[in-house]
Amino acid sequence: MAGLRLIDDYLAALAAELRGHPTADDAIDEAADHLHSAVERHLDRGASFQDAQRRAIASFGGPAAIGHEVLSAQHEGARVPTRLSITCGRIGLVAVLAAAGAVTSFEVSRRYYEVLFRPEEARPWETIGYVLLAVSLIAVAAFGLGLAERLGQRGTGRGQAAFTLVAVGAGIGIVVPWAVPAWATLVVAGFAVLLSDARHRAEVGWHAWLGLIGGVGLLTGTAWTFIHEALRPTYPGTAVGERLLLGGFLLITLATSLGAARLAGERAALPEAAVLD
Amino acid sequence: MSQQALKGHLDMLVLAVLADGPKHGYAVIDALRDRSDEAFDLPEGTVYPALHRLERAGLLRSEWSEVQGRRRRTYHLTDAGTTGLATRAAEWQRFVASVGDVIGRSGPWPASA
Repeated sequence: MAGLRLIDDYLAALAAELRGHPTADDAIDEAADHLHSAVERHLDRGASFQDAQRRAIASFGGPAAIGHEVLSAQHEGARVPTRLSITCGRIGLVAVLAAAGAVTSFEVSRRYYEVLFRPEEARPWETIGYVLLAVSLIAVAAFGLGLAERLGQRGTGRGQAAFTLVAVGAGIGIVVPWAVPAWATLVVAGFAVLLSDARHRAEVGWHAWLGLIGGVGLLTGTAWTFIHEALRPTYPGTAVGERLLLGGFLLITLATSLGAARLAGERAALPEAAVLD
Repeated sequence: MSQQALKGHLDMLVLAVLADGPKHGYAVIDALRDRSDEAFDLPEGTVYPALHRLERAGLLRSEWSEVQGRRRRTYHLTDAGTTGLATRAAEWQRFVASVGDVIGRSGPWPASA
């Protein structure tokens, strides 16, 4: 039956709910057969084409609720992640990474300042750390180039702009490592440009998204560090109280994120599909 | 009947409908609606997870075919499903009889003063 736009839209929404699930194709084919059968029935009873589709969809149930029911049946006894719990988890991950980024970037800025401007005071591991940072940034730039290639964007204007941002960011990071806010911003912006056009592409692996989330965390952290530094009359130095404050913030963020994710998981375990929305 | 109450008995009802012969999902729902005189009015999509659950439990088996250019999955009752249905039906009959006994002995509710 051709031209069933409402049914096609519904099946696309259901496919999005079941994305990545091993039996998604079977579940969608089964739903398609059901909806087409229902439309035929309503048409036989005199409904219009549009009305037949609307009635078939209304009787079948919303895609979020049905998707949840299908996944619950597949993972009986286990908690099924919902869009809410996944969102909470992502927010929590970014928040934790932001806090970790704040601590790390502050330390990185301070240490590399000492390595390059007070080499006589630098300890051996700080020099090794600088070399490792430089190697890592070269690897990040290479990863950006590889990702652009994989996404088919290497020859495009978008791909070239993205790689330029990553490469310039990495270069600044090697030459002026303590300017973390500047180079982290450029590197993250480059990856964001690369991935912004590839949100729905299956070939974008979890590692790319994790890298971007990590970058956002670092970026947020460096923004915090920048503000922190701007407000401080002297540089560098970290008092014990400040370390405790950062550690406490990290723990509170972690606990809050886990709590939110747990709450969302419990909501998902409730039998009424309506809680999903 | 409320959806929640119906959900608790959905497995037995699906098995009962399939005892008449193999059916695809839409036909199972159609039969449920017809045989209940349209009293059972679940969101139709929620019947499929029940079918999948029963298949994983070994009470049903399914096979795919192509009908009018569409893939169609037809469900069959297995021997275990036939036995399971008989057990559940017997339990249900005992439950209904017991409830009937209690209601019958209590008289009208609430009791008049």
